[in-house]
Amino acid sequence: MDPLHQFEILPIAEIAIGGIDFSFTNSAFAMAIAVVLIHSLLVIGMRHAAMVPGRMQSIVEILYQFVARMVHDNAGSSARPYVPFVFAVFTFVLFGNLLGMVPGFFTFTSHIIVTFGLATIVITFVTVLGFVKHGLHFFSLFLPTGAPLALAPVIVPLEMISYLTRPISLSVRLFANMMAGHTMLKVFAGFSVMAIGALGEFPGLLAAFGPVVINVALTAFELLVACLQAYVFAVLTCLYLHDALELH
Amino acid sequence: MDAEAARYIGEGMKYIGAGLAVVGLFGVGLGISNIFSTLINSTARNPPMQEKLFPIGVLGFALTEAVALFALLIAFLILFG
Amino acid sequence: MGTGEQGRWVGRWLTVLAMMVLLGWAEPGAAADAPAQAGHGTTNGEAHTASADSHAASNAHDAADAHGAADGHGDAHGHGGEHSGGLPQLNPETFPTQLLWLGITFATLYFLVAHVALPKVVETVEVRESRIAHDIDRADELKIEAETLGNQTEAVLSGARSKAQASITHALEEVEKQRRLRLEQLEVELASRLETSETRIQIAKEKALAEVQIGAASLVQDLNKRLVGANIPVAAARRAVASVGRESG
Repeated sequence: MDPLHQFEILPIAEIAIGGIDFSFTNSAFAMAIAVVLIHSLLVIGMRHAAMVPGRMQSIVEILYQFVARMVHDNAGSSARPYVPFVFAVFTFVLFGNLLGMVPGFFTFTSHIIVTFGLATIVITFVTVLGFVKHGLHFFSLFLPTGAPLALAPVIVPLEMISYLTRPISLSVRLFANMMAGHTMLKVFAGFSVMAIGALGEFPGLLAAFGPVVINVALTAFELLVACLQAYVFAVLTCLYLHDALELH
Repeated sequence: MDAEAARYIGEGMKYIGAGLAVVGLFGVGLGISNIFSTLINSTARNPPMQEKLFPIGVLGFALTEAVALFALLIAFLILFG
Repeated sequence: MGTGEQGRWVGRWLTVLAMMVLLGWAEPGAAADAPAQAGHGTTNGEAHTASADSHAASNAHDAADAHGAADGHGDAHGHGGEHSGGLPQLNPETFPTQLLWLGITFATLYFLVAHVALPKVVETVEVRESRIAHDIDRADELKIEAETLGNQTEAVLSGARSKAQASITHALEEVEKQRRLRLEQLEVELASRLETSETRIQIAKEKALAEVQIGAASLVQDLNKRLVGANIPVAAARRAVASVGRESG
């Protein structure tokens, strides 16, 4: 029982452009489902927008207020126009993680290339924003205020390297969390199957209860981690946005 | 030594390497317990601040956990990369 | 929410969840072999991730060219066989498709969220907040108005009360005065009546006394005639009665 088999990319519709495989895979399908779910949640929730919100409208509004407050607290009030971007990032990661918890569904955030792509999008967006707003003065971000100029040749390269490792740390955090969680779930599930195989039917079924109980606790923990990692991704996006907009 | 023996030794080294890679989790355990012990301490001193402190504590936990998972990633890379 | 409504709500969400589970299971389980192209080596992976950066601007054609170049380079290795124990995440053949579809779906999500879905939410939240602020301001205004009105009513009421009190006191005084006047009049009248009646009583008393004397004198005459057989003249009998009367008072 290979615990890594669940991360295999399987094509649904083969598309090849110029000899390169661009097929619509199970990962792409999961991404599409996530987008459809997010959009339908938002649209259906606000269909009968009333002063006194009903259930769906409350859910949508609470989600929006959560992201808006997070952006306001961490990125300042000048980041108001970028709330939709942070909202898109947050809900994409959140729904990606949570869809992975549905039995049989593919977790597209457990692939390093996907999380790296997302992190790159975020950091590129933030950097371009910084350059547009501050021009070349953006590089003053790499020399923190109060640092003596004599140390600049040491500090600036260090700061630049640490800035360039931001996409890596952002992506690896999400990827490793998701992969480790799902691998552990699969391993413990494998223990149950192995117990039945090794001990025969009756004692095996009894012995298989242990890993299942652990799996229940692990599933709860993984749900928490799914939401937490989406939150952390979004908060870090807001912090990087703050760095780019305020430069300190 | 012949190629097969070398391959077996190489496989064995991989496992040793993966085991060594997760030794770093010792520091992460200390770090996470530090965060939450400070959170509990601060809440005990000033209970109304709990709503403001808890999100920061959770953020700190997630960032520290990330370091643990970097170590796990290295272990996986060694084992399967 | 009543139990029936709760049940329907739970049922709806369970149906959605069941549909998603079925979708997950219905994904193609057949492991279609990825086209046998590049092998995997760290350099190849680096080239792919480097081109992944430029791709992030969701410009598929540039990335396809970069990927094509890197892939041609990878063909020279001709490795294959990463599926035996390798991490599927590190299989570079999947990178182009993942990146492309990530770009497409995320761009779609961003444009849908920013231009279709979120403006309605923002508008509703802002309208509600402005309405609440407006209502609170209006409530404050009305409170001030109510207070002033209350004060005015109080003032009017207390004025009216004191005026009523004054007129009551005045009326009472009037009544008191009238009473005293009437009493005095009555007293005077009673005094005069008393005098008249006393005079009348005196006259009547004297008349009665005179008649009693005449009667007594005639009785004395009669008695004398019967007892002594003497005729006494009236004047002498009257003198005798009067003297007795004087003696006895």
